[in-house]
Amino acid sequence: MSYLPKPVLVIGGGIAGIQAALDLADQGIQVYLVEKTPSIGGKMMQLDKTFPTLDCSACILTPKMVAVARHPNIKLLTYSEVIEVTGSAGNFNVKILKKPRYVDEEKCIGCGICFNKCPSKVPDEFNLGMSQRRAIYVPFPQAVPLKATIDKEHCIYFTKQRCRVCEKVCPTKAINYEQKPETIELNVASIVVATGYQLIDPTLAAQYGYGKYQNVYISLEFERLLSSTGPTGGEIVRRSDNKHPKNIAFIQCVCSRDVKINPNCSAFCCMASVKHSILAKEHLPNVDCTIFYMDLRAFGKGYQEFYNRAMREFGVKFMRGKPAKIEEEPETKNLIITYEDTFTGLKKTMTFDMVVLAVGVKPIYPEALKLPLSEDGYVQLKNQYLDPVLTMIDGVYTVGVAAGAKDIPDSVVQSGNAAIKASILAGGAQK
Amino acid sequence: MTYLVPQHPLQLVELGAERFSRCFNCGNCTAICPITKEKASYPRKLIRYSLLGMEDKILSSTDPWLCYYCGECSDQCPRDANPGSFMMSLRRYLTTKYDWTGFSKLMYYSKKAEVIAIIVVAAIVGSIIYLLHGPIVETRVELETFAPYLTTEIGALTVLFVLAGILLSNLYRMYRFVMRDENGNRIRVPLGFMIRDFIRIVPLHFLTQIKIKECKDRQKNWINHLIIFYGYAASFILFVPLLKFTQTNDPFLFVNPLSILGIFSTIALLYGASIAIYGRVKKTQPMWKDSHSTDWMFLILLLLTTITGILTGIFRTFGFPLPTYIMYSLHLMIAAPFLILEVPFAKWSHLAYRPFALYFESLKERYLASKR
Amino acid sequence: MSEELRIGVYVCHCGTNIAGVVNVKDVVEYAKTLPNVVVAKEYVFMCSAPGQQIIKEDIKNFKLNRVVVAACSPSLHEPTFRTATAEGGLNPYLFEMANIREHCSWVHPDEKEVATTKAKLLVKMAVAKASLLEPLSEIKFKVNNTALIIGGGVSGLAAARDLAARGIKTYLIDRSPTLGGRAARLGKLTYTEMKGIDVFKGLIRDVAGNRLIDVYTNTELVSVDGSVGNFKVKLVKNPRYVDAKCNLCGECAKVCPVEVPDEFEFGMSKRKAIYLPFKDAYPRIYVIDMKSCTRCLECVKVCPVGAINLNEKPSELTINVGGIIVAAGYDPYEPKTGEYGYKLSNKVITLFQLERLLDSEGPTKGELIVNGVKPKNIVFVMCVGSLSTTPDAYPYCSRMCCSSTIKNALVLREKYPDTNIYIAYKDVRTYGRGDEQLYMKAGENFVRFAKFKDAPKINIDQKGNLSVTLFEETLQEEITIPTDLVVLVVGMTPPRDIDKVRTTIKIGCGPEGFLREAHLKLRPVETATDGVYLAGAVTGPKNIIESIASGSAAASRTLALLSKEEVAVEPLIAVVNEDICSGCAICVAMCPYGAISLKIIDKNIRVAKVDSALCKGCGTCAAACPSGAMQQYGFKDAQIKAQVIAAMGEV
Repeated sequence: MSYLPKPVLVIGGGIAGIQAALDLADQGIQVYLVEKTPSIGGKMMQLDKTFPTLDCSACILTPKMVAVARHPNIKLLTYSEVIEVTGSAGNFNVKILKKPRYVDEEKCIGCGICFNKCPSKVPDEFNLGMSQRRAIYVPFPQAVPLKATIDKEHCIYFTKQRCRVCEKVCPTKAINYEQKPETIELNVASIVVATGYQLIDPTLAAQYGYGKYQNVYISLEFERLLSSTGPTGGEIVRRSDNKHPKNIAFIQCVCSRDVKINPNCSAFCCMASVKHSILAKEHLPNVDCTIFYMDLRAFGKGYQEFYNRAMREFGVKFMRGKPAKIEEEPETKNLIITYEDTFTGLKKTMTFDMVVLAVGVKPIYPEALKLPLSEDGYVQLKNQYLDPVLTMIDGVYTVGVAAGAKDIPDSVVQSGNAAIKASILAGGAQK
Repeated sequence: MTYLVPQHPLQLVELGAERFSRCFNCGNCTAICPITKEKASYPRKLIRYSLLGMEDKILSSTDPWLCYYCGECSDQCPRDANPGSFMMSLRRYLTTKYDWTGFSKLMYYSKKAEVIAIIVVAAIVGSIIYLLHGPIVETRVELETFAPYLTTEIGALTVLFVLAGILLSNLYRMYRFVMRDENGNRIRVPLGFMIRDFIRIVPLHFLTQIKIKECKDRQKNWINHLIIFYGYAASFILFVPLLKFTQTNDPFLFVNPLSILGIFSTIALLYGASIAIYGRVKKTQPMWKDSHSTDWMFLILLLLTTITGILTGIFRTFGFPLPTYIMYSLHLMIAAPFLILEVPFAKWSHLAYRPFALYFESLKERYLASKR
Repeated sequence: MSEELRIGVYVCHCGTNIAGVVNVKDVVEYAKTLPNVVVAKEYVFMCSAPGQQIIKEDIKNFKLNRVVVAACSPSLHEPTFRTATAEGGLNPYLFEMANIREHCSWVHPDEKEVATTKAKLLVKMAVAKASLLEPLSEIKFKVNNTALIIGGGVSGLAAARDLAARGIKTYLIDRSPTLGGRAARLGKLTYTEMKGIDVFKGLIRDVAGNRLIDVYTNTELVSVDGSVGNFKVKLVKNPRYVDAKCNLCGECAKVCPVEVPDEFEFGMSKRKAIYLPFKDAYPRIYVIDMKSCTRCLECVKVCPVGAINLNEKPSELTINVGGIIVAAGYDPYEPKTGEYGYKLSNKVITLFQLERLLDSEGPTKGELIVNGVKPKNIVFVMCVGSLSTTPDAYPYCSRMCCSSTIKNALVLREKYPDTNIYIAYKDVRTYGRGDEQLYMKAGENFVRFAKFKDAPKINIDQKGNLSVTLFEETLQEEITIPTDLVVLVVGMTPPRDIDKVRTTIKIGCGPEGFLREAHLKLRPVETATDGVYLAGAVTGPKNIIESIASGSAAASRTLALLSKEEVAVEPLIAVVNEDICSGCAICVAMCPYGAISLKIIDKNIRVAKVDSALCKGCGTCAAACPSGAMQQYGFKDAQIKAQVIAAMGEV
């Protein structure tokens, strides 16, 4: 084997990107894994447990993250973004901007002394703003790499030219306020786009009052409430009074399946809400859970069984009907939902202590690639059947939610698919 | 067993329903509707009945008449299936079904037929005027001489009674369709209740149309509705049963209470019709967003009737004999098709169907209560 | 070993999974009191990088020579902590795991006290065993860089195509006389103008004539021996009775007197006993269906090239491969006679039959003609065989049927605009990309949806007229839809005889019979058996795109294995103490993998011998051995005994 394979670029360090990188690396291909946030892990890291097995999300994901960090064939570039791509299949020239962490990655040991001393408190995006982090931080304790990052916008030194506490306390002298952005140039054979998704702004569904009523949550916030590493340490309590809710409503298809906001089905929310209702019942055995849905899309392996379990074993109520509006009782901050029970044809109102909106998703793409998109907002594919992950640009593959809303197993399958395609371009015939 | 008519929903498309077949049955429309009560499940159920072709269910429903098209359902429909326009088309559909003469169907399903019908009626009226008009006095305005009171009044009253007859028979058909239980069996209510409920419901709702106010933000609409309604009612009374006093050779007297009423009623009509036309052109309200050809025809004829009436009055007051006669002839040629065609067969029949729908609904309630 | 034992114990919170029930602090304090434990710590996620870092640092700082982690199931994280132990500088087999999640906190969520005590006992047992652990080294084998793919449907073809593209020699076998599987029989596909056959042709283009791919049709699996990297596979190639000389002239089929229902057309047309499975079948050779052949020899007489040989016999062949991909596909659910009126009227057909009817190359040349007439009203009944709609139905959702039904409804509405189409559904699960738009388009095209809860009834009157009665759940009303055609939207079931393949290769399966992945979420194309991968609908219902993607993904994992020079397997295998072994050969008979044989060490002395490549470490021999000569690394009698004694004692 004298042929030296070319490297592959994987953009996005969520589960889809991680899996693609690991597959490629295991095949003997050099991989650059670029992640724009300070740590890999993606949205899956924010989940508490996963459906339908109720596997703890962190437990199954962190080993993969560790494996990425440990793999000799993977070069991890976190806090970095792809800013320019030229060339074509087999020969892409890529420019990557490595944003300054203001912390020397070589020296930082992730001890956490700096962020315990940092005086500037900032809403923590990992917990969707429900708790606070410091201006120097690691996004979550299991971060890979476990290196601190200074958030320049909130750092007192950068905004007011004083403080420098972190520099003083750092035992390894890793803080470097003078760090500059760095541009890295790479030549790669192929590119796997695993950039994932963002949640659609829930205030677009104004009738549900997110942002206006304190006890209306979005599903990812609820996920953080459930999590032991979340802002409440795994306690489900209301924003308004820190009390346990006695009943929770889960509303499906918020900003999904709505032609005025986003006509696509987001594929995983139904099962996520079923899971939320089961977990809520596990946390608070006396809580009443009601899921408002239109079609319950329990399509994957074990999903229908999971849905049946929620109904029969956990007594979760399923109400077929799209709620028209939510109003708040001013004194109690309870929420009144108006809906039609389409099985009885009765128009009703019901009061809940907490409402969780299953918000739809939209894809994120690296602008530098200029990927042609379809009408539905997702990337256009060249030949969906014969090559399900190939974009309109030869040598560029998309996987995960960036290639259409999907659940974790389907994302992982696609990652494998893209990995071998990228590998074929990178490695050619081996013998 | 419900008999299915798969073609049914396609008729509604012809009657102006837009995109309603996109409906994925979520119930958002029912939930957002400000006038649905706990038990009444519309528009959703009606859309479902229609799509599945359950025509009997549609025919026996009074719900379409309860909707005043505030448009909330259409605004929030996740599939943009426009339930509001669907409800509107259902009212047109029911109007064609209640009417036994077939004219209604003709007018609603064919723009061409509608225009031809109007032209034919106008031509007939024109020919009658041409053949039967009195002497033309050119020196001063002598309207009563040109159009002798008796001839005009006979014509007007004939039209009035024929129309009333058709409208009543259509209302009876509506009664026959509606008074059925969920299995489609006829239901009867004791006469005493029928009379009591009639007195309780029909006059009030006919005269006030108070139900519109239950709709969201419809105060203005309600007032406009009332303006047109009372303008029309006053004009109708003044110029049909009281024709003797209004169509005289005497000059128009500003002190005559009838003249004053005439002025107010015509101003009201002019105002109401203009607002509605402007609204429909600009599509300022949901209900004005999708206008059927009959809506336009109704408003145009109403406006033209009013304008020609006013012009006749002006010409007469200022003493232009020939223009007065011509304008009056035109007025009659426009008013006749308006009254003959629009009132019993098209748009304006809702004035009768709406209160009667409430009345029949209440009778049905009584029946169901007695069953329980 | 004379060195002093220094044990480190690490107790994981697993978020709240463990810490929510077990008092972790108590367990740590208790662990510190156990013999030889020099350090005991707790952490929220031991499996995370910082968690592993603690172990690595402590090995150095405390000079540990044994590590115990009390966390989840070893099947999940034993490899993780072994690696961490090794990175800390210890032999990875000096690590022991106590499962205090699956075995403790998860099963005693309401008994916190008892669970804490149990966790302490589990830790005590692990520490007792850890004291007796011995360093082992992994067994390494050279990897055979070839792959076997079982099943020539789209997922198998995609896997073969991709492996060959990376230079991997691949054997592709299918038990039927042609490749193509089920997708080749589908008409117009959901998101494209392409037909199923076009996808097949697109894949076959890269497979046919590829020097790295050996295709064996009419071939079945006989046995599989060996393990990851080195499987020895026996195959039997059933006779085709026609050889490659066949020039497709078709004379043989013309003279063949036997007509049988054509399975490619789901029995809607007839074929001869000698036939080409379908126009674009691969290999492009006729085949004789010996079950219906009368041996009249007419075909042999007319064949101009002498390609037919009725005396061909099955032949066995053995291949050696490094990895195996099982892409055995699925079978459509076959309704029982009378289930939804199936087979009681020929106006009741399945979705797959409809696909054939609408295919321009199908039995009616693409015209929808049933019973000689074009149906005006059509009712699709969804979830036949799925979602427990009938007593025989499976509980799961077949995933692809909703979009597939809607696609067919749209094709019909476009082709025959005056047909009325009703879809009786339980739930519309158009989850995939573009599916929701398709669902809306169906509405716009006046495809009517009627929701049922309990299975609709198909009524057939004496004149043979059909109607479908269902209770419309969202109207709370029973409706009867008169119809000319009922299409049963049948779900996907595990392929028949999959159990034979499954037990031969030793793969697990779920309650419904689909093969089981190593991990449902994160290892969807791998099995618990190293070196064996899964592709396509054999793990559960999938559409064509998902099947092809999983074929490629399975190829990707296989490639990861086959691109290695050698593979390491756990040394937890059986070992014989030749001094004690009496050569009774009980173990030889017991071993399910044929890994034990007797060897002669002296004239009359025979002892057992374990083939480390074949031994899977199941422990059967060790348990059966009457003398204790047979032991298993990692589970030696002394180690187990120590655990048992620890379990018996008090906390």
